[in-house]
Amino acid sequence: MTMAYNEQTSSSSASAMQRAGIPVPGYIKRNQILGAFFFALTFLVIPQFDQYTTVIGFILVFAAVGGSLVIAFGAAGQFTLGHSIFLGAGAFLSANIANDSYGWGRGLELEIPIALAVCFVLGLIVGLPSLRVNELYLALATFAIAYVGQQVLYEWKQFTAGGSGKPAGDLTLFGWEIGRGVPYIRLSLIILLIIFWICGNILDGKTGRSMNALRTSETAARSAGINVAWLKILAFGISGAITGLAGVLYIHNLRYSGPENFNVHLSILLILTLIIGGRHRLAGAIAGAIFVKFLPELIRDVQDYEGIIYGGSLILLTLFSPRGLIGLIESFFQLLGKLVAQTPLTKFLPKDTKANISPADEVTSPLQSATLAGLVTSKKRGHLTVQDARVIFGGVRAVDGVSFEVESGKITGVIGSNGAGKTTLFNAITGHAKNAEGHFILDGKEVSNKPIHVRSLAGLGRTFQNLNLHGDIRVLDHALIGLDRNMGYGRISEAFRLPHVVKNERLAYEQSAELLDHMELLEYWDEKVDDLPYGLQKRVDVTRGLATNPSILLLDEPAAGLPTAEALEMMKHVIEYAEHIGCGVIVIEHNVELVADVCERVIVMDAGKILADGTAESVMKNEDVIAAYLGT
Amino acid sequence: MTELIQLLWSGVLNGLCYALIGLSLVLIFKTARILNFAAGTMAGFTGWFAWWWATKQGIPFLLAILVAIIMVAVATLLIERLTIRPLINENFLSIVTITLGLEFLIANISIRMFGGRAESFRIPGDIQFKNFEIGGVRFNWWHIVILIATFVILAIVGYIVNRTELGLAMRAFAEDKDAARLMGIKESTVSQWTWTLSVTVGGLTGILFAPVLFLQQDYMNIPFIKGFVAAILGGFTSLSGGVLGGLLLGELEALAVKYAPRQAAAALPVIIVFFILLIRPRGLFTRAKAHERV
Repeated sequence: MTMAYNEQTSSSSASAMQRAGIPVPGYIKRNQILGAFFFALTFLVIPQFDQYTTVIGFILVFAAVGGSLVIAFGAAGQFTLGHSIFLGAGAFLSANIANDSYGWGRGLELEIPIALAVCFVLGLIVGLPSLRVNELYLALATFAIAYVGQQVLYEWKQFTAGGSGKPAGDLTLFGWEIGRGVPYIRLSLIILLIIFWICGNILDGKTGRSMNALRTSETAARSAGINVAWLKILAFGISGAITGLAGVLYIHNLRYSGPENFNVHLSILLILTLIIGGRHRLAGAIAGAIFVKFLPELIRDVQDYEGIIYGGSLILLTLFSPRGLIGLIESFFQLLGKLVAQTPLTKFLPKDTKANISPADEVTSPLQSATLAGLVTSKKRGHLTVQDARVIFGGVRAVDGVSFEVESGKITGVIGSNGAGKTTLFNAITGHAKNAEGHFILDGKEVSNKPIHVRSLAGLGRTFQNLNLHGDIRVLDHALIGLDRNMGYGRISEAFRLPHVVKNERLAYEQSAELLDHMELLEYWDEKVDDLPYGLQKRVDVTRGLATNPSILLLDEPAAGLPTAEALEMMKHVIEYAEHIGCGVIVIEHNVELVADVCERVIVMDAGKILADGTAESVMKNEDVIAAYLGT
Repeated sequence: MTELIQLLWSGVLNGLCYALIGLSLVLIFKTARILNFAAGTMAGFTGWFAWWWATKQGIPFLLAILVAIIMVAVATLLIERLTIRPLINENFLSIVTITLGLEFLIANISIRMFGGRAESFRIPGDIQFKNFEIGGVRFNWWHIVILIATFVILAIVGYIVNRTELGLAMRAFAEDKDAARLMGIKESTVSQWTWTLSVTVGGLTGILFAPVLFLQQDYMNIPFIKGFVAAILGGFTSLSGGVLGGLLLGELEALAVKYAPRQAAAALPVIIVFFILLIRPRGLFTRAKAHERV
């Protein structure tokens, strides 16, 4: 009897995460088990394909490069055409280390770490242009790098023997000779498995999340406290290192290589392979590699038509399945699922948990949950001083000497006609306005002249007037991106998914779920924000701001386009949460009713200056304000 | 002195090639924000095609060029309609992917059609082998033809872009897509004719330089990369910038051959451009745009 009673109480006070059916982050995912099974199968059947070992070796190399590109291109969105030089660098490093006569005569135990290290650094360098340019111009810059890189390989005779090329060294590991053919393929498979495991861990952790944030909106990523510049070149570094390792496998597979193999065309083929396979998943790297490398072998004489097959399928896939072969397979299974749902078989399917979220216990609001309590600090905060802020565009003084101070935990409204300089003032405070002058002091710390992400980490959260959301990313991840700053793990432990990484991830998931619950977004946790209606998108934007656990939250027209009732409801939740974590809120709003309702203090701006400052009632009665803003 | 002039002249010649390819890339990019990776292969295909009509089918030289250009232009209209148009409002990446696919596709077709062996493009009167001298500097007759033809092409493109209704529509799209649409300009028409114009310019380049570069399987690939670099130098949105960039790159290369160490001569110009790009990502000849709104 007692046990049954206990069970019931525990289920009624279930965490938001359990109620919404959000899977708990673990060490291994279902897809990884499937992948491992696939690898094991290949491992066992490989002797049957003895005559294809070179081709299979190439597939593995391409799959490894594809995996690395999922990070740099699929997640971080850096369209690079420079990956051939990492492959070349890895290959020639391997040839030089492993050779007995002019090299060190050492085996993979040295080749792999050196290729990883050298190509990581090379990747950071190749990634430098990404700081200045994006998309098209980045493609151009990396294209130029790949071209120059190949010229360097040709001319650096000591390293590559020029046009004649170098043979691969003996294939050994700690002095233990590895046979060509099947044993070599098995070794490559194990290496690939490890690479994919690490790539998967990176993509699941905070690094992958911030990369996705960066791809979908750089401005918003910065405001969430992500060091975008470092993350971009880090993406190149990680990706370069893995591709360098693939280069080691490449030369051992081919046994001989010259600089001519590492041309710009190879770079293009590498990225095409991933696009064909599907760049949003690691499995896409394998699908693409098999398609590009194995198909031409399977059918005789097909080599003559390779270009037509690659090019044709690329065009068809882009037109009809933008998510590549894997996207095609995914849609197939979705279709299958729908068909099954119409038959009696449907009772065998797992139930859709999203649709019916059991209501929370009425007594405990999400704010009282233990997980969110962890975010509350005893430190006094929410204090912002703005001294003489100025932003000048050409001849226009958008913000002209604004000074004010916000006391801890107050709700301040900023109103003013269009062009009064409200958003520009926010941009000056958060660092989005590059030419802002003046002093901005947050909780006694000067943040003027600091980059956007540093200000965000110091405690300045914000939302955007024109909804700067991360398009194809889930609602839950928007909250997680904000919380990532608290993650107590490094990137290396993340790569190996050590126990404390999983522990931190679980806590962050719990917190995100509670926060979503508080903002009444829990039932949409798995939706992409692009698919949500406008009102909910607005709420996600505010939630993301709250998740950064700010000391001051700047809301730029959070209610624009919302019915007053809905806006008031949302603001009520925001203010509750802000009070809970002790954060001050400054809100720009045109809806005077809302401002009068929620703001303890109102600042009126006109032509870049503060016109009036005081309680809502006093401001509304001010004659200047009536003349300038409210009209007659 | 004569040696230097000879060098600079060869630089001009290469520069013209890069300038034309650059122009063909910029034309599409400026109006449609598309990077055409197949531009070089398409240009090479046209060169091969003209050779095929002239040599294999035995029709007169000028007619062969005309037939090749017209057929490629018609094919471009078709390609644009089938592969580019459906994605016209998608992100930049999907159309770039399409052009990469076209690159592979056309290169392969070109090998299947024309054999893939190196051939030489014979011109009536063999004028590509005939030279004349002015003050010790040697000039080749075909090079003079290239120079004149380039000026004619530039003039025609300039006329189309600046003086015709199509050009006006193109410029309107380059400036502001949405506003242009609201003004009732049909995007599909602009896209279609921009592609055709761009591919035609590229094709003429392919034909003009076929006798100089010799017909090989992928003889326009290097000019394509260089034309690319030229367009980058010009900022990728300025037609004259692309042309100037091409000439500048040609001269840089010519001077590198003489003054730079032999090993570095091939890569040096591209390296220089790379550093220019790091300092001025939007090219040498364009002004920075006003900052974006947050």
